[in-house]
Amino acid sequence: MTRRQRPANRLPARQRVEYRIGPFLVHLETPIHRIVELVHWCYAETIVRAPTTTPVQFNVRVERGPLHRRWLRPQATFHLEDVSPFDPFPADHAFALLEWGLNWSIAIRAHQYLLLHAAVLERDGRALLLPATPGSGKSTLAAALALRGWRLLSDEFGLVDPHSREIHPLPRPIPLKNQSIEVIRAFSAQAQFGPVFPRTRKGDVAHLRPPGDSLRRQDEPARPAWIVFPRYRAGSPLRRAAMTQSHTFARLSQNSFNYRLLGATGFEALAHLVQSCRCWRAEYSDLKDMVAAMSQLPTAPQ
Amino acid sequence: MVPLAPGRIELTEAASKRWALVNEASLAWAVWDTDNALFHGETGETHLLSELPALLLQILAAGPRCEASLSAMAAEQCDAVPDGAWQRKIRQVLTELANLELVEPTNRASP
Repeated sequence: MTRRQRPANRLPARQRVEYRIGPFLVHLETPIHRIVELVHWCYAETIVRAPTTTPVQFNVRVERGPLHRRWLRPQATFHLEDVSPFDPFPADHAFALLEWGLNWSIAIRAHQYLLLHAAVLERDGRALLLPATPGSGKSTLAAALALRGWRLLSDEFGLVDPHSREIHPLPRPIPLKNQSIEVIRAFSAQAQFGPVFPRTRKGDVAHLRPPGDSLRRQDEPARPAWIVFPRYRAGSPLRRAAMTQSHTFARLSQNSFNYRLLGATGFEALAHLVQSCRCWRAEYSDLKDMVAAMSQLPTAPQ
Repeated sequence: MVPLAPGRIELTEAASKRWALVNEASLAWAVWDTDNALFHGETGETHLLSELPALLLQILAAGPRCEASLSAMAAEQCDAVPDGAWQRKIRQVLTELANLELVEPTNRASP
């Protein structure tokens, strides 16, 4: 056998996979086979198995680190085409690196949408936005709602179409951190977790698989109806207070990834979003109470 | 003849000063109950405005006005007495709007 030949039962050195995440097509190439296994596990319903005419928005690679680090604490690097925006990660965190790399890719490229840093869930065609602030418990709450019958549109990005004014789905795994992993495991036996990545830059991280229904319905947008700024505070009773539309507008404009970049288009999209929603802030410590409260949100008069 | 106090002279000169919107076409509004958001396309800035500055901008959207006329129209709409304190308040708001590059002094005529 020459060096170039490979036994028929061995996987190719580099693997390629294409999959849909909402309106985007991702082409991933990597020599790290474990990443591809996890992509298939997370995105089974949206793997592209036949040639498609849809253009690829994100050509990404996850590569092994430099040769001298192949054996001693091996590393992985993320690349969007020719750009490698992050320092190397430990190789066993490569899937988490891919997911964070895709977040970065969307944030710098997807300017056909007003991009809000928010989880989004849907019920009866109406979307609930949960804009993030650090420590707000956004992802934990989004995971709990997705496990109680809400359709997960996104954990990270509110993709607001400035023309249709609808919110587009971007269903991806929810990265839960530290205690939130056990909170959600205890919350629902239906929760399907990938491996725990210990001691990442954000602590221990495990990805909750997006529900199959969310993946299958990723072409169905939703009309915005509610905006709730959640805040987890240990020991706090559930408190919900209405927010003025101007205050909501101000907070969302600061929360957006590309509001300033979009100029008047972003302003009009955000103003319409706020106008069409009921807006609150909510503080809680009991996840079940908060989930129940979200199910009782009144809709805005149209 | 009793000379006017310096402050009175300053107020009189200011009252004749004319103001205009910088470029109405570059402004986009979102109006809620008592608050307003204004996007200024030339600076790329978004401003949250309370009632009085929003009212002054809306009056100026119809065309340039002198400060005395603006003050009187705003007082009427706000049920305020257009006394010296009110005029100073109007001038302060106009100065702030000018600093935000939303209004500017002008020689253009009223509509």
